[in-house]
Amino acid sequence: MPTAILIAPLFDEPTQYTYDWSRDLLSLLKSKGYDVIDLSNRKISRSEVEEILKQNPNILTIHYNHGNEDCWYGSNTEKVIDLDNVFLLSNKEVYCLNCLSAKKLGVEAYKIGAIAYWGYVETFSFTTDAINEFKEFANSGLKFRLEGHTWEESLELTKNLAKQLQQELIKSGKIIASITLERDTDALRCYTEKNPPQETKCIFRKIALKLFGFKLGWLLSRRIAISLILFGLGIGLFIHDRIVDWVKLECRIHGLDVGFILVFIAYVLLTFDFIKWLKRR
Amino acid sequence: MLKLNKRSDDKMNDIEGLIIKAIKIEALNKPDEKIIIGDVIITYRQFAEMLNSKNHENIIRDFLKTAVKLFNENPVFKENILKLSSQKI
Repeated sequence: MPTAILIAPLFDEPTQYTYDWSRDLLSLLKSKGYDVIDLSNRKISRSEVEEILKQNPNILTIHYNHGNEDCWYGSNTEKVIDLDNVFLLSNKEVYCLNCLSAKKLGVEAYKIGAIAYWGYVETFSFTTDAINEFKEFANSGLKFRLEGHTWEESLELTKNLAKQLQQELIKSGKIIASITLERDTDALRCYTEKNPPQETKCIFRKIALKLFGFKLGWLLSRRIAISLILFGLGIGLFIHDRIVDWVKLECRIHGLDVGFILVFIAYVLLTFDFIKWLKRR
Repeated sequence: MLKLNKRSDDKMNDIEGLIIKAIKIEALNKPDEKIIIGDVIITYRQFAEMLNSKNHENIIRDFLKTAVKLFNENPVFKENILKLSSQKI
């Protein structure tokens, strides 16, 4: 029997809405034969979430509550998932209705091997005059997935649904709701192997993504980037000085030159193997 | 070039002005409805007041940016904004 964990804490007015919306997901999951561990309707602690994720390596993980760029909240003070325990999302399908978490946490989850991460890169907003429309939009991704669509198809279907809902809102004169839904739709992301994250502010990451592609570019760490830059600078300095020496003096090859060439070849071979290993992951 | 930029800025301001007026009319028609932005809850009445401020907060600026995009891309939205903004507040 497939298992799902539904984390839907309740501790303020906005979470009252998201908690209500999560009840529809609970029924849906049960109707699809899921065994659901329902952590909801109260403040949720980090330790109980961690314990369940550790014990269930392939569990479908759902969070409906406040979030931030680097975390999900279980109460107004406690983070249940953040960058320190994001490794628990490895090999899992993750579905979030929270603010901002696809911006950083979702990217980290993708990097450490989450099968899918559904979330938003901006603050999720909704209006009380169109609650049903926002609920339908928020829950639709998982609904499509449970109907048998891939995550990529579910994302496309959800964006299409949002367009339909938006037209209905506009026609019924709910301008504020329609603008809000447009903002949510723009902020929606679903990271999968076929649909990796594509936005970054880091210039080095941008270069890595351009050079190595989205899949490999995200796997390269900051240390690797720094080592490559330092190595390039080192080579540049060495070659510059050797050329100056050769021009000033006579062209004589030292043992140092041979040693340098050997170190260079070794580095290239190691880097080549490292990239091959990353690609296989 | 400067003139062209000024003209497009003026046009943008005109569109924003129409959108702000339409949103205010909608907000004042149902003042107790709320917009929930993360953990911030604002009634439509408060939202309309925020639109009056000359130095818009980030929330309003982002909101208007999306609205202008919709105005330019969605004819039904544009039609509704024009209809609403022609009413008297």
